Amino acid sequence: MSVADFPISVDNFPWLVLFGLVVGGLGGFFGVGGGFLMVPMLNVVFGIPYNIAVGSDLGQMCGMSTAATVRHMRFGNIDFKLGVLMIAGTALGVEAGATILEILKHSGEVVINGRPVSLMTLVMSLVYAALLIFLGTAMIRESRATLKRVAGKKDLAVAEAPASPIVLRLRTLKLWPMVTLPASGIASISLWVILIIGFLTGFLSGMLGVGGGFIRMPALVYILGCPTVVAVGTDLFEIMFSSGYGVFSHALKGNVHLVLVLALLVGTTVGAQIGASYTRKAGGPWVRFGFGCLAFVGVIMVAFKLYLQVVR
Amino acid sequence: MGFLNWLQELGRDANPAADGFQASMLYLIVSVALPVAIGIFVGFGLRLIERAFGIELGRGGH
Repeated sequence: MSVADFPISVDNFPWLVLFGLVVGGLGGFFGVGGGFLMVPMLNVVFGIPYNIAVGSDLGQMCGMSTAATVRHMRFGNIDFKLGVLMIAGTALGVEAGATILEILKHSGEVVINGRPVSLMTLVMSLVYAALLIFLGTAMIRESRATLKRVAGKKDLAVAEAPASPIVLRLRTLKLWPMVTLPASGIASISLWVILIIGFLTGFLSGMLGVGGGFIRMPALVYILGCPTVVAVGTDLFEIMFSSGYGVFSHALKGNVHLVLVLALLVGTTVGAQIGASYTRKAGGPWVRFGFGCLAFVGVIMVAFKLYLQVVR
Repeated sequence: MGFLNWLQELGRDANPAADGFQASMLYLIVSVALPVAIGIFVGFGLRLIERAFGIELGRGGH
């Protein structure tokens, strides 16, 4: 189905704006694009075909992350050096992920419960669910441990994620060229570590069709060891570039519905500002705990969609 | 609703099912420029509000 076959009526416009406000608020609060909620919800709630939902969602994601990046710039929450270095790896990863998706798209169907299910849908749903379960569990466990450790202390802002053994090992990896990231408080780290993280997160976002914030943000915190506040700002900076490239690519395929993009943008850009303003009040561990819970909401959505395809 | 109709018409040209589909240059430009322009407008608009009223709407991050 193309955008030409799917007119957005003016009657739907306010509801789409309201929907964008809610998802944008969540995205701003957690520092993610919200694509992993937006795309399935657009399909389930509004019946918008997936190709148009993905293309248009990347458009709103680009606008929302641009507005959020402008906000974070004022507060110095973005490590520009890290962001720019990571773009090279991210771009390569997005292309590689999109290529794998194209291969899956032409892999045909499998029969489950007597019903044909696209192999791409099946593989993507399982990968998506596994990834979200892993991230959600890791985030909730870590944030609960941190909250217990700082119980009684008033300022949760200082309660950053503790450095794990893998973080310490990657930080001490001496593989030329080495770079310094003062904004993130990292004295010396191999450029290859940054590029590989960019490539892996870009690969997953290119394959899953999302901005990748829910992958990149924890990676910046847990693998690189960035402070949460810098990870959120730098992640939004990365989403701005990856979604901008994504919307251009989908526009070439005719998958971007401009009216839908506008409706979602109006809601999400306002919602994101409101959400971001509550992040500091909640404190790092609570943000990570909420993010973990949100990941499980994503799992339920994916499972529900797959269930409907197999049973109906 | 003139602007919405204009956007709708731009999208109508983007029909990948049609023979020899090629997205129009204007559609491509608007697809990227619309979100970026709105994002910059909203971001700087909020910063202007904060400066004008001497308030902080929130830092983001934590």
